[in-house]
Amino acid sequence: MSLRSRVLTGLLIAGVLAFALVQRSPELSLPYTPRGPAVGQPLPAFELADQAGVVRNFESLRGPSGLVLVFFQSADW
Amino acid sequence: MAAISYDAPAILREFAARRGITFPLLADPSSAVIARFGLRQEHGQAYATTFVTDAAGLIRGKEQEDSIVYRRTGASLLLGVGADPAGSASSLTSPYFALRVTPSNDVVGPGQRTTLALDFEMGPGLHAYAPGAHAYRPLSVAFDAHPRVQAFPPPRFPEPTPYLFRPLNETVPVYAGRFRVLQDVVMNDVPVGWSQELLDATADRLEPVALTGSLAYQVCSDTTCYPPVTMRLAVSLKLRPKDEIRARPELRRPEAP
Repeated sequence: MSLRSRVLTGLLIAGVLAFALVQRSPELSLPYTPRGPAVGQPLPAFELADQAGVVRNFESLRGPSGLVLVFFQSADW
Repeated sequence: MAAISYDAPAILREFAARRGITFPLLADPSSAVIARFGLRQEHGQAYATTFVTDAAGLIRGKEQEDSIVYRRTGASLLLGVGADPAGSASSLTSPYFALRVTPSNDVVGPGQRTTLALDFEMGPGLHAYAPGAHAYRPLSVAFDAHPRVQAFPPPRFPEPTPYLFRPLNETVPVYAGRFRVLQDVVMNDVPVGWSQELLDATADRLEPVALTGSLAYQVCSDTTCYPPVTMRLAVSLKLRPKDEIRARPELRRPEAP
């Protein structure tokens, strides 16, 4: 597959996903603004201490099939 | 699995201990990583977002919701990217197929978005009509309204197979063999005080939620078409209270409400 057709395929997939997401929100009235890296992009690098004080990054966290990384608002409120 | 928030390590340590969380909770008190991901809110918290990557770190799935109340469960997200459901299965039979209904979560919280997996196994030589097969009754799933449920969004159907019906020389979308339909269930938020009432009133601190619905379909073989059928569906979930406990005052951020 040429670079051009890969880019076109990528744009098509992104378009279909965006359409699906836009279609999804009104039925639930859940406002939703696309933010952060998209599907198909690499996860940005990170290195942070966990609750035990151990510094972790993608390589030390991932399992054989990858990683589920959850950003959440707060564990306090 | 790991989770990132702008909380201090001490808050995460106590939260993990109280909730029995053993996966890593990563502390980003300066919000530097949250900002690098483009997810920083005005006061430094992250916009709630979940990424599913492959082993090389490429993002394969992503879930975002602006609402801090209505959120998809991790098990529902994994089911959406092809994992098997973690809940308790119930089996239904029809003359034409076996059906197993399995929730992503047996226990759900107020505001959570969870998913039911409907796993079909068609009888040999039989096919069911997929959405778009206009001359037949296509497969459809419709759950009944429930006071604890905000919405049953439209189900997610798999890609059907084109089937050539020779006697009429027509091609229609069908399902044969094994296939899975996903039905999301968005739980309502609950009023202030409900969680405490539930904690006080029930031994297991859970409220049973009995969901019912209808499954309509039409099945044919290469030679015979059977009449359209509507069968009833029943799924049992349990609703848990909200966790409204905050971190100890001395650990809290000064600017947090």
